[in-house]
Amino acid sequence: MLVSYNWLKDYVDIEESAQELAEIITRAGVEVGGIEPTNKGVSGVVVAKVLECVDHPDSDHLHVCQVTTDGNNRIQVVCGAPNVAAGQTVMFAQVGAVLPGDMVIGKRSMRGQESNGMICSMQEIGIPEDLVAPADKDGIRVLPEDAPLGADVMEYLGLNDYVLDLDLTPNRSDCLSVYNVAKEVGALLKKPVKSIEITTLDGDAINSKMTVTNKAPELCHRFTGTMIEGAKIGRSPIWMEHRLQCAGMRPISNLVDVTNYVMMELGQPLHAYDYTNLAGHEIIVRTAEKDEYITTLDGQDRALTEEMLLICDGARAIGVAGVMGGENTEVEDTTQDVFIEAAYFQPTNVRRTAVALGLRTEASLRFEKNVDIDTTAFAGWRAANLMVETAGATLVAGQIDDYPTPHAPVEVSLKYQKANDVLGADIPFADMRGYLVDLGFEIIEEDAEGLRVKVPSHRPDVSIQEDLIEEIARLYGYDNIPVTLPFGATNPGVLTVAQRMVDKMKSTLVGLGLNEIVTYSFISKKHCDLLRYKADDPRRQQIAVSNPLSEDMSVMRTSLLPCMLDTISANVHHQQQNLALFEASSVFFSDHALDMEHLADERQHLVMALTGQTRRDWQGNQKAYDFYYLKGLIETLLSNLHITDWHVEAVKDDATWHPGRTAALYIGDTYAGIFGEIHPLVCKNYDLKAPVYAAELAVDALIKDGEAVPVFAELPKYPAVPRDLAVVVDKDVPMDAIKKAILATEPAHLKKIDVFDVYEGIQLGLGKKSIAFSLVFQSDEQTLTDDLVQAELDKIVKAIEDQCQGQLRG
Amino acid sequence: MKDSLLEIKRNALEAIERYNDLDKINELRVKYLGKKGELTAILKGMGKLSKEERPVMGELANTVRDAINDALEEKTAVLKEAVLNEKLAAETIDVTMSGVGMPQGHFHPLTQVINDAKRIFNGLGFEVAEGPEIESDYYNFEALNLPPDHPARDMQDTFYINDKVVLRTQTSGVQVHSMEKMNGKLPVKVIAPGRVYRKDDDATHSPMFHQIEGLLVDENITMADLKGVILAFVHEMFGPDVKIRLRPSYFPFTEPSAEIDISCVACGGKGCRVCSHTGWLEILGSGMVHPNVLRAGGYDPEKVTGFAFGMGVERIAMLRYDINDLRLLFANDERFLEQF
Repeated sequence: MLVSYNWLKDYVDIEESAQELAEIITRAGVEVGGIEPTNKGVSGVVVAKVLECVDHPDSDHLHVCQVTTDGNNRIQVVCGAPNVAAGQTVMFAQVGAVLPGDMVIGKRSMRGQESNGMICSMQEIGIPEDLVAPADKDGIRVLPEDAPLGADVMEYLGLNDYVLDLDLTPNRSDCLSVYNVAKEVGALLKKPVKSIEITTLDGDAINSKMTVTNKAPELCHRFTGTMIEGAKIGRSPIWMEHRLQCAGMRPISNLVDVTNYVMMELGQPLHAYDYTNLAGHEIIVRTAEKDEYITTLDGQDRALTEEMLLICDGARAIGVAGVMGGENTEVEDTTQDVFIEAAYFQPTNVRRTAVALGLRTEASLRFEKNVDIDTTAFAGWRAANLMVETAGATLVAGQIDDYPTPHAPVEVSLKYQKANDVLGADIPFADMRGYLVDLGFEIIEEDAEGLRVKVPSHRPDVSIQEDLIEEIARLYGYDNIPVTLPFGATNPGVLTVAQRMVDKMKSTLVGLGLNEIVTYSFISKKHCDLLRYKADDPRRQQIAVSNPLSEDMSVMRTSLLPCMLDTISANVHHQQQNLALFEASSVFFSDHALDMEHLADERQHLVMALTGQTRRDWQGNQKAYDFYYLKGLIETLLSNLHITDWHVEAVKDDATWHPGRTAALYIGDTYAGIFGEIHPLVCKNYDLKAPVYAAELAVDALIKDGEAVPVFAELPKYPAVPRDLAVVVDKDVPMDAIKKAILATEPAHLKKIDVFDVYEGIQLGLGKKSIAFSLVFQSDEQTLTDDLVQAELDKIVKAIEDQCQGQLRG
Repeated sequence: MKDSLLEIKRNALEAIERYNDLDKINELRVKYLGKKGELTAILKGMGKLSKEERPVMGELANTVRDAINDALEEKTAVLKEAVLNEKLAAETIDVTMSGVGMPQGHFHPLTQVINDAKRIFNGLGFEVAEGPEIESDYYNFEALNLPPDHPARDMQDTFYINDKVVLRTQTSGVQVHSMEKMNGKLPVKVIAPGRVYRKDDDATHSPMFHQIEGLLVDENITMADLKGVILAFVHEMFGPDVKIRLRPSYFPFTEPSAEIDISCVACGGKGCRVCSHTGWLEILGSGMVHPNVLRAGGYDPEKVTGFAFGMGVERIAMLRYDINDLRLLFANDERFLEQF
């Protein structure tokens, strides 16, 4: 909402500057988002009279004019405007005048003719093109003849003003009215607010001219009609044009401008109908019929639905109630008699209609946010009065007011102490009472402890005690409320085990050199194909957003991998080839239609990915990321979470992954995720050339057993006996099988078993490999002898020979 | 004999003084103190001495041996240290070279802000609550005093799954979830960080972003308490000199409602580009929990009061790290991530 500072001054005696005022009302809850001076730096432009105007001898469009700024002097100026003529009163920028953009007017010669200034258009003194009145659009502004010669134009036009741009919260739609803003200002400055004087004309004349039938009182709570006759269409007075421009509206003509002016002033949208065009001289308010159409003022044909409310005359629909008028009954140049509609339409219905038609107008904006139903009749009279003043019309006696169920005023009670209890403040009760009175609340009852007030009709946002407390708080000043810390019973303020474990996972990965990424939860459906999901893969059953911004953000992800691969791809294309990244976030599954009681299955996943190599340093320490690097990360992660009961199984048939370099992780018997090398065809789909190693783990599986607390084991008292054991087996025998064979012998005192070398070479024979284990034996009771250890080793070797067809390497 | 002993001593000390070579010093040790050395040779003659002379000479001999031994030890130590010093000098490396490349990961800046908020609010006794991102219309709107057709519920801003299910537009839905979970017990004291979604995508809006919701419901909770808790948070997050300012505002789920500004962290409140020359930065919305919301959570507004607040994590991260483009937070460029 744009509000002229000078307009506010009509109603309240404001001593503060526009900036000071803006600060005061912002701090009280009506935020001023900007203060725009209407004078864009213009000076030295004065009212002048064109004495002579002749064509320029050497130009087909320039004119050479003689102007006077005091009735005596004669100043020659060259003017290119097509509409300049002798006898006009004009806006004249003298030599030395400044126009917007710091343009200084100098004396110059135009095709041989001296020019001492410039005759200005509205645009040239800084009025935006779209706010210039039609008559002023294509040339200089011709001022009324009575404009005083030599007067400062900015002063004369009222352009030394400021426009306050109010960022209104939805509860303060009352401030879509300049007069209501003035009431707010009055309360804040503790100044009286002047009332708007109107003249009403009692009588019955209107009823013989017009009938109004309200067939939808549930959607049209009040409909008033006021009439004037004998109007003469023309321009509005300068002050009104300027105020409309301040409010961001273009002046059109006096009758139309009045309706806009009153809407800005009182917040009540109005409609002015040309009386002679109203068929049957009647108005019918009804809902639309099936398949009904209307052509709105903007020339568009619009299909209507049966919920939409229409304003009709005896023959046809002439407007969509509260949204936009039809073009058939507009005020025209020949209009003399006007029927002014001021009504109250049900806000929700206006909102739905406006949304459905894609038409958000200044009128619908106000109706859908609730106009003041008790201002309706007053606004009708106010408009009629202004038409009398600006268009020479006369009032028609009487007013039609269809108001079947008058609005019952809202009453609210307040206990003063409650306000102080909620605010934690100590505001004197008398001050609270004063604030409410200043804001226009009418006291119905009161005692020492509290009061009961009638809420002013322009404040429908106030309906409960808490609303009154807010009114008191904002007038008292939020900054005056003390600062305390809550006391009383409290919570330990700790994280849950699951939250702590997730934090630990992330810290572990950061410690291991991975960077955390954050990506969108909605993705394109096309990733299912890029990741080569099978047709029946449950990850294809993504929850779709019904109104996505684009296909790229249209379904909720069932895997974190797509965004990870996109991120890697984007980085690689920025020459970041060595990457170690992770993300912990939700994925979304559902096997049913979602409703209030049955929402999605949201699961936390952890994705990590590696590509390229580790950091390179001058000592040549650099390692290409591979499956085992990734597995090392996962092992460290599991170890930090104190998860010991886990194992992996090779995965050969998931098309997203490399068939020979992928494993599933199990914790106990629970599937906990998959890791390995991304299938080269998937990499290709993401435009990735180097191999990518990735893991996608289910956080639930990792945290299901909670956070185990390690149990201390006594430090060994007797020496360890290390033994190395290299065995040759077929290449496809997994290490795990040998390890299992070793452990199956239940070797006494075996404390540790590690692989320290794997070797394949021609001397071992084709299809063979050697795996070297380092075994550590240690007893808690004695120093082990060689014989004892050898006996265990013999058992182990035999088991490897029998179960893995392995041989001790010589 | 006495003369001989003294002469040996003199000669030995002279020789030890003269040589600066460990081998030579060892030779001198053998020469004077060895089994076949000069001192031993002389002491062999002790038997011939009288009973009176023997202890006197014995003592003298010991003194001479100790003196030679000490001199030898001392010289050896000096020479060894010199050798060591020479060796160390030869081992000199270029200390300006970089260390070995250690892996170093980084938390995303949004996570860092959330982690700090969790730490600060944990310290103030708040627990961390969670709620679904795909949320029912009831928890996202209705229970928060936003009935259908409420003007503050703009179709344009919400991503819908269907009529009754939305991507949550705010973490505020966790308020009612948390109250229901506490089942009437007091206090309800939680923060809820998480992802939220709004249908908006331009230079200053991301369709997905993060909020941290806060809620404290108990007997006698006041707006002054809200100010105290937020001030404590702001001091921890932005520094002890940062001031707060409250402005009346509107949220359907709080009454009274307040927008909270902090003094500009870039200019300290003098006015600059970051704060649009106002000296203040808007960082969170807050207020006293609306009676309808307390009722929806199963609490009696006659008996308890509460405050709630919500802040944008991206906004705080951008202010804290001086990040000038929101999109950087979701582009995940490694060169960006490694800066935090």
